[in-house]
Amino acid sequence: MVEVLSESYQNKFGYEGLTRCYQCGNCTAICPVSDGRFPRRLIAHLRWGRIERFDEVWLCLQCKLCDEFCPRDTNPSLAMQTLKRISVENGSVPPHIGEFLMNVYRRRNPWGHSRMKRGEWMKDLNVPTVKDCEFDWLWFVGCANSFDSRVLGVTEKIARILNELEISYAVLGRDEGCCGNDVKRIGEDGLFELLMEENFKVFKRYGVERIITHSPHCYNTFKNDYNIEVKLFLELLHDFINDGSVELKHEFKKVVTYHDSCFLGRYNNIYELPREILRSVPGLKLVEMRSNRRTSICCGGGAGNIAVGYQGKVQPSILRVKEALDVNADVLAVACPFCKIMLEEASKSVNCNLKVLDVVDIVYHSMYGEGL
Amino acid sequence: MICVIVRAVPDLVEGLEIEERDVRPYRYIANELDEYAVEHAVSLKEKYNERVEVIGIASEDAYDEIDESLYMAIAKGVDKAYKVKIPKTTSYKIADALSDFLKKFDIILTGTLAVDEFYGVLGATIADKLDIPYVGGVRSIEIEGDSVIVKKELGGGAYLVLKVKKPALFGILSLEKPPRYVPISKLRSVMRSAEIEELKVKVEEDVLDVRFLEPPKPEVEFIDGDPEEVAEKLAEIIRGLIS
Amino acid sequence: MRVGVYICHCGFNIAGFLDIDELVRYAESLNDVVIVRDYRFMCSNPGQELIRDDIEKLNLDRVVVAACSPNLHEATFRRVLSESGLNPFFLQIANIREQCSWVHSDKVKATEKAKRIIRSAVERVKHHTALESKRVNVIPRVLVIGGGIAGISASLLIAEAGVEVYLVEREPTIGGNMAKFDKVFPTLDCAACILTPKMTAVKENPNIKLYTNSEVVEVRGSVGNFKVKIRVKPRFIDEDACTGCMECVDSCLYYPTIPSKFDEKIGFRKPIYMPFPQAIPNTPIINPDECLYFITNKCPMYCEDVCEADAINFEQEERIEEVEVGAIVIATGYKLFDPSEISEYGYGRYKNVFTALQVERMLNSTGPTGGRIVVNGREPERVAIVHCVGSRDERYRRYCSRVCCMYSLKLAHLIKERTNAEVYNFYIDMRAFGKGYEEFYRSVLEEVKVVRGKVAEITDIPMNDDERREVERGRVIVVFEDTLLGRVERIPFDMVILSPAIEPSDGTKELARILKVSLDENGFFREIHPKLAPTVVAPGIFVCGCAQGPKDIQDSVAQAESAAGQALSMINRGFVELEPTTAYVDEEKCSGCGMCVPVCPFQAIEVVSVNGHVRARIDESLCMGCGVCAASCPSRAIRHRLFESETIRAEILSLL
Ligand SMILES: Cc1cc2nc3c(=O)[nH]c(=O)nc-3n(C[C@H](O)[C@H](O)[C@H](O)COP(=O)(O)OP(=O)(O)OC[C@H]3O[C@@H](n4cnc5c(N)ncnc54)[C@H](O)[C@@H]3O)c2cc1C
Ligand code: SF4
Ligand code: SF4
Repeated sequence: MVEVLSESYQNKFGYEGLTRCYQCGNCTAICPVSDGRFPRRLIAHLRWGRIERFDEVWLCLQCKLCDEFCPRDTNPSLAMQTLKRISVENGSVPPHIGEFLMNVYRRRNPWGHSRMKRGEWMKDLNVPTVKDCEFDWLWFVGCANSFDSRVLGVTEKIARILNELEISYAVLGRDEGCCGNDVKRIGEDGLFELLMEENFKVFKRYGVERIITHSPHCYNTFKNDYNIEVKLFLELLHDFINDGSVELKHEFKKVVTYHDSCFLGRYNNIYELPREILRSVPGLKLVEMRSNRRTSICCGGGAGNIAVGYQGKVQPSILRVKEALDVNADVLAVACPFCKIMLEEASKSVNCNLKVLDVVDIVYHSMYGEGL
Repeated sequence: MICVIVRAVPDLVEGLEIEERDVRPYRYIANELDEYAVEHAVSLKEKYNERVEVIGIASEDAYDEIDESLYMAIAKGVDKAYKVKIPKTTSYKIADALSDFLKKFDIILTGTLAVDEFYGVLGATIADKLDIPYVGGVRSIEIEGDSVIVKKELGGGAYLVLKVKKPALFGILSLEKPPRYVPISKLRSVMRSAEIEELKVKVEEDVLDVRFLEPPKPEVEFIDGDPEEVAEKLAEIIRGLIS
Repeated sequence: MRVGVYICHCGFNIAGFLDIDELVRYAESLNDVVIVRDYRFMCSNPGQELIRDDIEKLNLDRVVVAACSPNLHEATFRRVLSESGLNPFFLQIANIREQCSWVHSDKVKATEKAKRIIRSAVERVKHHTALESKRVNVIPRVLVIGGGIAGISASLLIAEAGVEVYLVEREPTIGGNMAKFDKVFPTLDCAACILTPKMTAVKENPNIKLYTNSEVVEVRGSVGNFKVKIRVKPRFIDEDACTGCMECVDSCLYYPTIPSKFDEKIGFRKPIYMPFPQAIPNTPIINPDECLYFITNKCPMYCEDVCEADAINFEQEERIEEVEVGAIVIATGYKLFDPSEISEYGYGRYKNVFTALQVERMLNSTGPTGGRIVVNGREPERVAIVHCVGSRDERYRRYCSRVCCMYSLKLAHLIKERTNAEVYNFYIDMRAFGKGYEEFYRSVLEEVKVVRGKVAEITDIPMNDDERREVERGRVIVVFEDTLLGRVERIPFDMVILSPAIEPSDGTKELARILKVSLDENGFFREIHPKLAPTVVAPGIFVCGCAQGPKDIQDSVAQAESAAGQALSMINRGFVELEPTTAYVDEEKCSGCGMCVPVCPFQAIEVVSVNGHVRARIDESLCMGCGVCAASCPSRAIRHRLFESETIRAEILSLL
């Protein structure tokens, strides 16, 4: 069935740059997960306002790799986002994404964990909450770092470092919501607005002015959609390493390669900061994978895929692990909880000795000589 | 005309607070199978252009929380929503209270069972009260003239096809395709514009005794050692259990 | 005062958007306006006739034409005025098209704005005073900058008309880029066979004075009257004495290890060299930065020994020559975009990746490989040619470079002719617009594989074992989507040829600054009208060839001859009319501070002594009327004849 969208519909969903596409296929050729039909061919459909079935658009991870390669500044990833938005508006969302969205709507996290248990991770830790202290920075922990057992360790380490550096911070605990970054990336604007309104309300209630976060997903949306002051935990760490407040005493004698998170790299142009931190760890040897920085491939956890796992035939996480093995790395360093979850799974499934560690894990080890 | 009965039940994900005989959920949501029933009803509307109405049943403390599910149903395509306040009571009394309202519908759908009512009698009780046929465990419905053809789940992949004369009541157990997604912007605009009509019914008190039975703690034993040793010990234990 | 207002409909361009009746009614209500007329096309003959009639019958003494930009028809209407016996400067154009009807969306508001524009034109024109144009004689000599095919063609045409030409070329030889090619599309003529006779003709024509290894460093004056300084760099070999025997080059003990610029760095030369055998002047050159004599002062100087003509002269020095010309032709051509900016193509990283010009050199029988195509010492089995490298690309150059499609096809054909390789051309849109080009394309289609799709990446990192074997054989993998099949592919190639964008030559910005002319958004010289004056950059300054924008040889030559025609026409007339719209100094007010001197972009102002007082003086034949000096004068002593303070005041007040 071919549906021709009315002009008003096209105006609503068109965006600047869309008509510049000259169908060169660069985007399709570079996309690691494309089935050959997207982004280019779907862009042609979108331009004509001719929407057939485009379920394959949900394979898109919104990783923006194609945008880097597009000679016409068409931003193919934005076209994919637009098609997803049309799908969402029509209620035709694939089950795994529907589940993700419903979980975020009902429980404010991708997995549908209990909202009540959002603060559970800090039970035995000494973490100040907004209710019981004055603070300069709100530490927005994020869904993965609050719930997922694979990255809870990182959360605890961040808490310990923040405490030890005597940063004036607090967390929201049970009142923390979902930032909505991935919801926005897949075009569920209604849900995103709901989340944003709610978060702003909470920020206002507790007088939050500045946010610190470890998740690049939260960082991206706070910075670019909420326009609120936000700092990455790694930026803080970087500052403290540079001024000597954080001392990296313990050697980490490993060959490490760093995986760029899409939301740090292509979305926010942060490529060198994590690398600089890694380079300052004594004993550590940093090597680069085949695709790195702006050409780095996605872990497969973006655009709602973190909830159920990436459904495509090609698993980008496995490609990534292979790239790391190709350069003989012992450790694949990440700076994003989603990347850690996806790549750790991939490393297990190809049955190799590659360890996936957060930059925080490595710094923590170098600070305290423990925790690995 | 089709009616769907949606009941507010404790949200088990968020957990319960239990004190003696008092079970206090943190939150209520619509019973999942009842929501499936809404899905089936909306599909019937799309296919046969039937009018679909929904009635939400909630106790005092869930009376506000049921709204969202009703609005969601409207956003999915339901034509009208009612809600009714019914205190914690037995299915018999609920059936008594609703039978008048439900008389005018020729197809009534609800979940086969609910998380707080595993014996699945509400549907059957109402059907009995209205004196119409009841089929539970239903996974698909089609309308054919003045009959309804349903597939009833038998387990293990088998199912039964039944032809039932209207009016009838069906307990829904599963969906044939994943539930449709309602964009939140649509839901929010429905919340702003649509109205839920409140039904006033007389409900008689009934004896309802809810107790929390703490299951006995199982004995846990950790088996240490290398895989072979562990396997050896495990085999021993299993042998002991069987013989 | 009696003002006539003429409102043009410009077909639908103005009348389709503005309420003309309303404008007429409004203009009629303005002070001193005695007649208002509107007409479909004021610039047409009947339109002009209306104005002429009114001037005569109604005794008008000022005219306002509300129409398009003064750039287009101010001259037309001035002529109408002077033909009717009115001073041509009693005219004011109210621009209600470009500045109103074309750019707004609200018709009512736009009509209101048009009223203001007309009112201010009426108020201003009343302040206009009578001005007289001046005539200046044209010096009958022409400067041509750049000796590529365009510069050569222009120089020859002018010289053949008996007019003297100074041809300034920056490189040691003329010929430009065309001299690098083996054959040219679409006819596949031998490039040298058609170019070298022209180069020799330049050398032999007594009317052409050739400066190679030289640059224009200063230009003063204006149309008809330019004073030019040329820096002539030493060649260290006397051009007149040299016979071009090449003994000196052979005798130089230096091994040829210096990458040759002419050979696009795939060939090597000595510090003393001739760019190519047919170079004009046919004289080698010594590069003092590389020559052992200059660097160490310790060279046996065999070159000097072997030169029987005694042409080698290590004492030669740089000199500045001053010439005076009436017109200037710019023909500085192009250079290639540097594809190493596109890191995913690996140019500079992989030995398999070349630019098109490098391959042109390889194909040339006098080039570094003697006309053989070799990659890593072998003849390639599979060759990819990538179109649009950097062209039509928002990240690099946004424009189409126009010739790449055709030369890519030419290279494909020549490679097929010389080797057994399989050739793939990767294009996005095939642009074969010229005469005979489509036919050429069609014939090339028979021998090469033409793929519609842009190459996304060129890599030597294999994805699987098959690819690994290919990479170990020294191939690179080209990743692309065949967009017509909708299939993403990775194919190993021995050789990849990039067809990079054509961009302005190095130093174009500097030259524009020296000539005080402007460049377009892509850095090429901006013509004053793309359709009607495509070779005119400024009065007396003309452009041709790729200096104006990418084009092929055919168009370069046509344009060169057009520019030559422009220059000759001026010289033949013998004079130019200078606009009297210049600035002048009120000597009473001038304090002689000299603030205006450096701000004048045309160096028209000097500080001189007048009756014992220091005063600024403007040479009105140099003044272009830009008004910068007037704005900078702290004593308000400088005034502009068409922009007197009262005039501007009246104009502004009536706009508000
Ligand atoms: C790979 C390739 C293949 C091509 N093949 C063909 C073909 O087969 N057929 C065809 O019709 N066209 C072809 N073209 C196009 C052709 O090269 C141009 O149309 C032509 O060379 C333009 O001539 P030009 O004189 O304008 O510029 P150029 O050839 O670039 O000459 C400009 C000259 O000006 C000099 N110069 C630059 N700046 C200064 C300065 N400031 N002062 C003094 N001198 C200066 C330069 O040194 C140069 O000698 C090809 C182009 C490329 C890139
Ligand atoms: S979106 Fe960009 S990369 Fe993709 S086909 Fe269009 S122009 Fe090419
Ligand atoms: S954003 Fe990433 S996944 Fe989506 S089309 Fe572009 S490259 Fe592919």
